[in-house]
Amino acid sequence: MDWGNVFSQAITQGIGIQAVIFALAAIGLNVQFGYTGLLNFGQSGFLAVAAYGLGVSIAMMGWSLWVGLLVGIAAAVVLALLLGAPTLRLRADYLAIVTIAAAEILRLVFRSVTFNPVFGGSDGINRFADDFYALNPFNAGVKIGPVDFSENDMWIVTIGWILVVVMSVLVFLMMRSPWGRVIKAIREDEDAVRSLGKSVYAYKLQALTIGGVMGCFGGFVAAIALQSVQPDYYGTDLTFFAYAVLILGGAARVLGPIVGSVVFWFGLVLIDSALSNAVSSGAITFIQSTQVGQIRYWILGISLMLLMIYRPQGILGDKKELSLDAR
Amino acid sequence: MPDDLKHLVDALQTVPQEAGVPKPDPILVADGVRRHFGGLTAVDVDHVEIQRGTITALIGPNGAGKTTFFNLLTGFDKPNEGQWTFEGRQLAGVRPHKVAQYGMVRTFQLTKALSRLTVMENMRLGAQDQRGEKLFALIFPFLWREARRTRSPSRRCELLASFNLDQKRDDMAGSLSGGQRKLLEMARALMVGRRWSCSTSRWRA
Ligand SMILES: Nc1ncnc2c1ncn2[C@@H]1O[C@H](COP(=O)(O)OP(=O)(O)O)[C@@H](O)[C@H]1O
Ligand SMILES: [Mg+2]
Repeated sequence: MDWGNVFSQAITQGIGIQAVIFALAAIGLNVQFGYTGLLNFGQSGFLAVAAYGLGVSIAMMGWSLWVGLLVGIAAAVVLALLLGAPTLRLRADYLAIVTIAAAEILRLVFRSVTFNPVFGGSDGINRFADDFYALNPFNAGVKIGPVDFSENDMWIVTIGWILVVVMSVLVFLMMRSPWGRVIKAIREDEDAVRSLGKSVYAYKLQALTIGGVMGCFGGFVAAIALQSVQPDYYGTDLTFFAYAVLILGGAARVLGPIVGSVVFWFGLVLIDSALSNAVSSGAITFIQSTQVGQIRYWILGISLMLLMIYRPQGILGDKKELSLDAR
Repeated sequence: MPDDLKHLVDALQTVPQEAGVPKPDPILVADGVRRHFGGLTAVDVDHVEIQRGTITALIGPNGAGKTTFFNLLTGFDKPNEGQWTFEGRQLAGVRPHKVAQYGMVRTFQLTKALSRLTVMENMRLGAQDQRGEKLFALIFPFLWREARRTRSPSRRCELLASFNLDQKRDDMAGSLSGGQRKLLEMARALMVGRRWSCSTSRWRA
């Protein structure tokens, strides 16, 4: 078995594109769910409208990269207001139902035959990010120790981590401010906050929008990195992986999404390439290489269950705080 | 009793002791407030006036409708019919956070201390018109730092001291005892309104 190669792949993926995308998605969820207590089960929808906003603007409309980014952000804001305005006055579960349904509706619209000329059906939109790679200052791939990125990967990964850092600093500033104090109080008890003269509805709408816009940058990174927007990438499992990342790292912790995303992708790829390696080298004979994909999710699921049992606050969370009953 | 409050109480000496009687200087006046839950009439108040500057108690057996009446007055529940004014302002149909902003602040029968905030953060949450609570000011601390420093911290500290919570100011509210949480809730309510707070409580008979 080639352990060097196994670890090299795991480390590269642990700091690579997927880790960036899910860190951004989870930072948005952290604002919504971690700090405000909003159950947004449609984060994939925010990434999808951003990615399609970008792709359609560039590939179909012929607009520039920058206009495409603005269109994507605007789409995320509109989606947040559409989802939040009717539901945030109601009990918490209504937002959950509406967001998960809306994200699936969006995915089905994007892949539908009817809109094929605009959204490209199940093939999506491809090769629209050349403007972005034209700005690439790296003129060769980077290979440091086990880490190995092509020049284009290096460019988008660098921009991606800069975005992650900027978003995290914003979250830190927001949650340290009096605004953040109201947000955290809403997570604990909305009625108490209402009784203190704050418009809970307005704050929840703001948190949903900010979290959606932060998450939507994950959609930009995904679209640009893959030079492609595919409807089925933005399914419910994207949302649930983002939740797994957030809870693994520690909800309501500024660095929770980053740590969670790195550990999640490192672990997943480690399991995956270790198993494939073991199967192809004949060390394991009772599974076939085609089954590795499923089995890695079993192992991942069991690991997450163990984490919830023995460390429910996540890697960075504070157990003492979790045990204070939120009455 | 301070002299400036004495005349308010003296004014009540001449008021007849019967339900719904007019008061010399009412802060709250409610008329015909009714709330039905299906067939059950939980609240049926023809007329009530509350005198300014006094502590008024509403008493009644369990299930009499006291909590429901408070919920209605503060906008947390909607009556089937009825009108009421607070400081001359019509409050029927006004949203709960607006009611609090107008100066009528409630506490809860089941105490709502915000457990994962510190005692001091709970108190700060009560203050009104804080610039740092606005979305567009929040990432520019220089816009709200100043305001926070000058907004009399003494009021918070005075209140905490008078509720015997000043030793606990940096503790999580969730670590307080049940009685202390109730005190914190009252102190926090007093941070909001200077005029009237109504609490529904089984904590003190
Ligand atoms: N949300 C509700 N749905 C149905 N019945 C309710 C509701 N809230 C209160 N009630 C009923 O209204 C009556 C008054 O309750 P409440 O105001 O809590 O009484 P009190 O606070 O005076 O003990 C009780 O009979 C109670 O069961
Ligand atoms: Mg009661």
